[in-house]
Amino acid sequence: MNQHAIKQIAKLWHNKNYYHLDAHMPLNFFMSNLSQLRRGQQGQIESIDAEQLLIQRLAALGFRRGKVVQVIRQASFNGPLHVRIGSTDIMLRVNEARRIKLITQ
Amino acid sequence: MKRIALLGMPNTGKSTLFNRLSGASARVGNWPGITVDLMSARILLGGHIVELVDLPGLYNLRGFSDDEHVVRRFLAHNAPDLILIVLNSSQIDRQLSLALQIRALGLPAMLLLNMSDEAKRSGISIDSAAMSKALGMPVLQISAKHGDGCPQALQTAAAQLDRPPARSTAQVPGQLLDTDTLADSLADHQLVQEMESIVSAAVSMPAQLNDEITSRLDKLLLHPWLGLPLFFAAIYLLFQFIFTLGAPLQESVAWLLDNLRSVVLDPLLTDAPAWLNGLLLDGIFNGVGTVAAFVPIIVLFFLVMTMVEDSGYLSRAAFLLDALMAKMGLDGRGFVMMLMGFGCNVPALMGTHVMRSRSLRLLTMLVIPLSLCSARLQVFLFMTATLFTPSQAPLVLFSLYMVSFATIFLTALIYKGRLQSNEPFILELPPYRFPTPRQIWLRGWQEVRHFLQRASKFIVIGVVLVWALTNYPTDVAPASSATLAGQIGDLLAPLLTPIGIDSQLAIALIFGFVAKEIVVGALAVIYGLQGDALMQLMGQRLDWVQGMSFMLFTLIYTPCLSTIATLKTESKSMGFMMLSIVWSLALAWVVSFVFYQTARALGF
Repeated sequence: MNQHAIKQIAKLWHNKNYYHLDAHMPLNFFMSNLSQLRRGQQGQIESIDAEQLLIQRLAALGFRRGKVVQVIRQASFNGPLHVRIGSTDIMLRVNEARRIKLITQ
Repeated sequence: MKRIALLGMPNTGKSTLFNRLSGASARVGNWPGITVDLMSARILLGGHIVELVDLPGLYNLRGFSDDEHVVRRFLAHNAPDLILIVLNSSQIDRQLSLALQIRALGLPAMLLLNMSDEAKRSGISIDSAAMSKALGMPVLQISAKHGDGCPQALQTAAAQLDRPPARSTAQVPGQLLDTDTLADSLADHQLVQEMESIVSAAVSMPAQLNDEITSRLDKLLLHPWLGLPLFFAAIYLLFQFIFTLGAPLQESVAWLLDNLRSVVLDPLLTDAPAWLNGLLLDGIFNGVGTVAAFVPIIVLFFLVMTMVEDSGYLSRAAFLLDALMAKMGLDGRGFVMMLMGFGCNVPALMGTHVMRSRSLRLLTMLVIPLSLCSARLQVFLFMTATLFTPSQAPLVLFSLYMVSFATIFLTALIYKGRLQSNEPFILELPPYRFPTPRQIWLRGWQEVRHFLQRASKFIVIGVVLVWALTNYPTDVAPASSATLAGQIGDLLAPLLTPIGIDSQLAIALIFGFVAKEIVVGALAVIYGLQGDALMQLMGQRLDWVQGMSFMLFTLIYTPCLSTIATLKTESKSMGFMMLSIVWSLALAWVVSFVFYQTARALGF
């Protein structure tokens, strides 16, 4: 088991509501979503689980399968995320970030 | 006359290009099929006058946001002879999709790769000839901000217009409004593939191209605990700049108008009958004066807001404040406008057009008039000096500011469900840029013209109406209880007595509809006294509970005619304007009622 998987398990143990929040998510420890990344971490987009409007908007801003997205920072009080994708910096709320599924190394 | 439309994603410098091409001649116009204002200008192009229209920014021609609907409806109802697609060269790898969508519709178009200076600096090179061949439309690299490449772009546009249309555009409207073709994800997939193949053939981009200066500034300005204090400090400074510079300018405009009246107009009209004299001077001329008083503030406000917006800081403010504002159904940009509303509601309302979701804009426009603006502050300074001791007065003022915030939060919470935004809140954080003085000046000028064009008639009519109410019938003293205004006050007595407002104060409230600046002057006319004598008399007639109730009502009910006119022109909805008036009146009454009755019940 690699270090990342151990971290994920520790996170699951720490947050007991985890299963209720994301019950539909496959229990693949190598998959996560954008809201789970910490500052400086990055991942490759696997899928976007959202309605057409959000998918379209994200696609226009460069969020497509296979692209790498990095978290730069999060605003205080659980505010929005500042992420970087390609040459573009974008802010989005945690709710929307949760819909973007990633593969992390 | 031929029509050219500018189309592109947000933050691509589309409006900067529009301003560069049109100069200061732009005006706001109505278009069939759509309900928002679009800027347009007539320009000379290749010996012909053509009409240039600036369309709202959009991400996807098949998208579902408010602006995307507007653009589709515009294209369907007002087919342009040429579309200038504007995109940000540094983001060509994702923005090219828009050009492919336009091409798929068969609309005549050419592509302008804007911000080419920035792209070159970060090491991006684009082979525009190869791209032009692949797209089948002219492709030019320009910098709208500095003007590079703009003359060539105009020449090419003129040549395009002279060519006979290659394909009939007759089927375009149907295609644009057909919802089945809208949700075609297969087409999306092909489009992305084509975009990637064109970009890999014609564009070379360095792997990493993030602006070092922007990253460093963000580290400071978006710092987890320095970011917010820096934001408030910046807003405080801008606020001070606008309103300390604005006040003397407003005073000089007023001084000029006063002199014009006493030196020119009064002598001219001495022989005119009293009613005509009153109508022209106290009605129409004062109405014009009311409009003119806003001009300096609007110019200054937009000089500053253009800097804040174009520099990229406004999106950063949204980032910093979003956690708090999301709970109220608003966003961080709305908060900036709300704070500016504490200076003057009118430009703050006009500034909401940076928000592109209509419901979010309406909610913001509903709360801004509750911000305690500088005109209301004048009334409160007078009233607190009249009814409270110098040590109590600051506390009373502070409590009024708190009430103002409380009514804003309450209103947002009540209406956020009804005016829910369905658009995802995702904003670009563009690199920090300096707008050119030309950009800043043009924006200020445009906003003032917009205000004068749309709001001035409404304001002048309103001022004349209030003048008539307070001066008819003519055989009684103006502003006395025998005038129409006084009679309305008497009619409303059952409503106003429970909140401690007598018929004289009711007349002052009717004057207050025009502008809060004139309330103190109106009280002087109503009581027939000035200065200290007026303060003394009011101190005898009113107790502090009545005075406080009057101030609460003044704080919350409709701020002024100019605000109403701006609400109407910005929302383009009479119904929304009425909602704002009725809601603020109802809220004002309830707050005053609760305060007055509680204070009386407690024995004050």
